[in-house]
Amino acid sequence: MITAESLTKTYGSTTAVDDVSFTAEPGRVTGFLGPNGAGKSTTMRMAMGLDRPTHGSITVNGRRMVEHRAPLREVGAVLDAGATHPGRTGRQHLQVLAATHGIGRRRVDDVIELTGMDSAATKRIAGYSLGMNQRLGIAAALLGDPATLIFDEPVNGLDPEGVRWVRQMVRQLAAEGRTVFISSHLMAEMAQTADHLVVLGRGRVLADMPIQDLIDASGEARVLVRSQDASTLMNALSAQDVTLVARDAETFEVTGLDARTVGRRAQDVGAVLHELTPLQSSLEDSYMKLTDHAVQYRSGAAVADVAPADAAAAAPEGVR
Amino acid sequence: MTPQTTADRLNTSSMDSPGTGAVAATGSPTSSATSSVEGRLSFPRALRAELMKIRVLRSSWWLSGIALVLMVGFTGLALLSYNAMRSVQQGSSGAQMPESSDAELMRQLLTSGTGGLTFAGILLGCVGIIAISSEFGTGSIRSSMSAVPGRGLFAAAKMTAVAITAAVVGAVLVVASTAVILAFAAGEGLLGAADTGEIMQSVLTNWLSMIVVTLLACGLGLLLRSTAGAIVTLTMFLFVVQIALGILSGMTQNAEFVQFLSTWEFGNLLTSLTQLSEPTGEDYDLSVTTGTAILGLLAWLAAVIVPAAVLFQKRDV
Repeated sequence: MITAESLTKTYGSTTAVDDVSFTAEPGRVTGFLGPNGAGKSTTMRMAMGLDRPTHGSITVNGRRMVEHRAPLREVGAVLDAGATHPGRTGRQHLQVLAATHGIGRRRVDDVIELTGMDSAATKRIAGYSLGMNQRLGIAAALLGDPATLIFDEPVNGLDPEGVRWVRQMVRQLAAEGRTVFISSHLMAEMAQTADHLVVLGRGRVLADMPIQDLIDASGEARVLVRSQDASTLMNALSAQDVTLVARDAETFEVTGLDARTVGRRAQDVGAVLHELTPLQSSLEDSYMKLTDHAVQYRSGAAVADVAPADAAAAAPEGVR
Repeated sequence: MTPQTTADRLNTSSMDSPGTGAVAATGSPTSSATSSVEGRLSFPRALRAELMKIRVLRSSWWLSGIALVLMVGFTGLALLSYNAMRSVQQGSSGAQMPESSDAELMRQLLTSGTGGLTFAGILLGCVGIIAISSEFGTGSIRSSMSAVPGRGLFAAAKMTAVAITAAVVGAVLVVASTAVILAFAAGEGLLGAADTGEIMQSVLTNWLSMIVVTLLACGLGLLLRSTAGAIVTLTMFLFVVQIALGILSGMTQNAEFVQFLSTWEFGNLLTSLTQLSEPTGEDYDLSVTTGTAILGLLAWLAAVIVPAAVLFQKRDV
């Protein structure tokens, strides 16, 4: 369990984290989402006791990091894959960490096997690939069999197989009843991993809700339709709350009707359907809408100077 | 997606980890009470981890090895120059130069023979600096802090590990160097005049100075967080300040404040510590007694390590 209360961090005149409060509950994956520079990493660093909050507090399993008598058994973190000494081997890195708690050699062997880094464990970290570094980081995080896990952008730079491995690992850790707190700037990644979302923008919490709520709140379902009688069908479907967007002669998108209704109407008018696909990208859209005003570094256009409060007001229903 | 179905799917998936079930031995951990792993953080354990870090790094061994070569090499040079000095003395048949007593010669041998100490000290100091600055340089400090979040405990364990390393390596260096000197003295027939107490004093003070230099270096590393910066500052402590004050002394006709600074600067205290003869109290003699030197050096250590530790408590990692 991770609890942040009015957590604030300022660097000079810059406020990186601004009065942030949330709870990451045990037994589920809490996604920590936000554009680059939103304050995700700073929040995680404060949770680990690396950075000191300017104001407020963040606790792990009810205590600040320094108050735990066996920190490795409380929380494991992968804050960045490079937090190792390149001159040591992977096994030595784990042994050093284990030594601080008197954790035995067998547990070190266990996590090496668990993360599938067997042969690489005896090689110097300097020669590790990004993926192997990530595995070593996760092995270190699991060393104390902790109740809470913190991962900062764990799939950054991983190949597809590595991404899948991390995703499965994260899901399983939560299924075992652990608190899993995982950051990403990609909604698509979170959509596949997280149960609950905390969305951050410009250091402020823009949303704190189950991922399903965000999906529901994201508004109308869209359906992709491909038909050789596209124009006939579009005529039949047109209504007050329905938006139709033609893509080409045979393809168009429907907003405001679900696939079932579109299919039935097609049968009514005798239109031949080639494709009928519900589109799920709306989650990405609602995330973009949510963080639109909170993006700090935007390419091209000038940086939007809209207060986060306005962004929250513009957010879909159910978002605070 | 419920947790149960995820677990089921995971178990039947092609994931290549036979030990997935071993992630947790218990059902629903919410605190360390349910962690299947045993163990708790303590100072001796943190210390063991810090010693392991120093031991597994190649640079520690390289630097210590080079320090040994330098130290013994300097001893060899000093003994060669002793031979040259003797032949000059004998050549001039003792007319212009008074013949030194055997006890005095022995003392000279011990002092000049361990002269490589300052250079070996820099190398040992580098071990002390790298032990801490590499944590910041490589980012491994973040892993270290996840296991030992208490800054005070971490710094104490690090400093103690560095002191132990300096004590062990320093002992090897001083004993090796002294053994060479004694073997040479035996060959010259001087061993009979050797004062056991003086030999012990030479060994102990040289050994102590190694530990002091290494701890100072480690403190500088913690303060500056940069390997290069800390090494440069250490060199200033050991050499540069001494030279600068020497120049200043000449410029000011040996003004009182320059004399004061020259007496209490780190390098002079270190020289005083390992000096076997008592201070003469004359103007050109800046040395202080062994006891005073130890107190002065401890003050220098405190002046660096206390601010370093306080800042380390406050700063973000």
